[in-house]
Amino acid sequence: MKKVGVVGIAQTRFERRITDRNYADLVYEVTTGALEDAGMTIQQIDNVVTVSNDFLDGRTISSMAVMDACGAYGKNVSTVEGDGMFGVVYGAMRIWSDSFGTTLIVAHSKGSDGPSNLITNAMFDPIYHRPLGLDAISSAALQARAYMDRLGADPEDWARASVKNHGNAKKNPFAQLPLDLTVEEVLSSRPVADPLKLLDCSPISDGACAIILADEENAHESRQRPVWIKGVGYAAELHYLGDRDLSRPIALVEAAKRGYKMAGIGNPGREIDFLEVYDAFSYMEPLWLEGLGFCEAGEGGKLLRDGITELNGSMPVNASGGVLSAHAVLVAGLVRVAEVVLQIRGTAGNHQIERARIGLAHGINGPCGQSHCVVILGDY
Amino acid sequence: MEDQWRRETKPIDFEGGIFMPYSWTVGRVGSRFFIELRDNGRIMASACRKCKDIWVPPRMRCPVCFSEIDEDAWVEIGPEGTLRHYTVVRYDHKAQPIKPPFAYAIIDLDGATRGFTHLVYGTELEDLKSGTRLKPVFALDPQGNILDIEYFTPVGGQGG
Repeated sequence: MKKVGVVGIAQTRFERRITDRNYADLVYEVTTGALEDAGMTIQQIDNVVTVSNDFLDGRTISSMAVMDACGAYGKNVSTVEGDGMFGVVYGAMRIWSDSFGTTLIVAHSKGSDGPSNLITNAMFDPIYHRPLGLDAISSAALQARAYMDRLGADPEDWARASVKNHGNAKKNPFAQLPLDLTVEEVLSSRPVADPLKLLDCSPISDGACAIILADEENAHESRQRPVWIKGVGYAAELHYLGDRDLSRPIALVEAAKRGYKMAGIGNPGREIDFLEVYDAFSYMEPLWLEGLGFCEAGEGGKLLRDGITELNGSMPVNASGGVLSAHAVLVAGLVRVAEVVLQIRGTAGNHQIERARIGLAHGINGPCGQSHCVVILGDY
Repeated sequence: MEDQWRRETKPIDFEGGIFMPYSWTVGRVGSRFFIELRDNGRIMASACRKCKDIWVPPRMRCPVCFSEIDEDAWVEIGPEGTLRHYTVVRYDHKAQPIKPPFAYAIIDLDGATRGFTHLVYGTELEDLKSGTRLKPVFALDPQGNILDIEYFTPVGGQGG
């Protein structure tokens, strides 16, 4: 299979509410930003993958509304309605299939435009679950409780993820919520849905992100040294919460297994230098680290306690501040890839980590991580 | 000039919304589940003969092994069950059927092998824990939908 690399990236600064640009304006901002970063023109983009959600945009066929803004005029364009990470995999496949030489992937969302709880309520089955009023927060709270009940997880450990990630956000100019916190402040913040407190939850955000993929031949046209996709993997599990063991992210285990195999990684803990994982809620960081095989089930909290996942630890996780510090839905997965690219390029600025040759980006889709996607990137 | 305009003006928000009624087809399997619930106060589940899994609400096919589940393979379960996991919700929005605080729980109904997600109410929510025995409170005027069970509450009125 031919090599596919990331040659251009751009993200907006994430904010609680952006009023001077609409969602198409955000798409234009990151599309032109990624082209500039790559040193390419829109004419060099062979095809476009947009990532959007109709409920978030408050209209149907939301992808069509950003055609002009992402320079897709006259091009082959297709849409992923799901996390941006899946857009990256789809965009890479379009190159691996020899159909195209370059792909632009662009994701946008303005969480502030609509009623967030009602939009996430709408991801549940309309007959059996939506009438109960379930939403992203309350379903995540059930998963957090499952993590405690089944594996003895401790909310104090998750609080450490919130402290760490909001602290890392202070070094990332794109992050929305840079905060100086203590574990006690997280634990004593307003209870939202037990066991989750306000500071265990990611914010509502507006923003966009774009990346440009290219095969080796086209990558030479870029002014960037490519960051190569070494492996991808994704998998899904059952939709109804009650059908699942929420404490065991089996879809992630499967996704990771496939990604590691493709990347030729036998020991992720030793061979991967750093991670950007989808921590929409603080407990997700340790739970996903378990699913990714960085420790045994129930041991994720220990990685946080031991400081291993700190910016200067031996396995930095979410050096960018993570999703806890900026959560534009769908966009956040694409940002994980962009952040891994920044680190491997060595241009992450104040949140640059020391050893960053192989990084893993992780995204989720559906309630409580019903599906997972991993992309492993490297400098060779 | 433009900077001054930006400082002195506020961008406009357009207030709108999407209001669209749906009449969702429940289908044969779902209809039987809701009619049993509405007319007989019985909670039905479907049993996969191959996996031995008992699914609630019932399915036409096993989500795991993909084999068809025929309607002879239905069983009555519950109505009581054991609380598996719960959360107490302390914020409100328009899609919630009751005012918070209330709880959501994944409940292992007696006889089922997979969990059932519903509301828990009418008790001291702080006393809930994994293992609490729960019973359904049926709606007085059942309509043939999931809220024909208004909520679950501890057996014997534990915690009032």
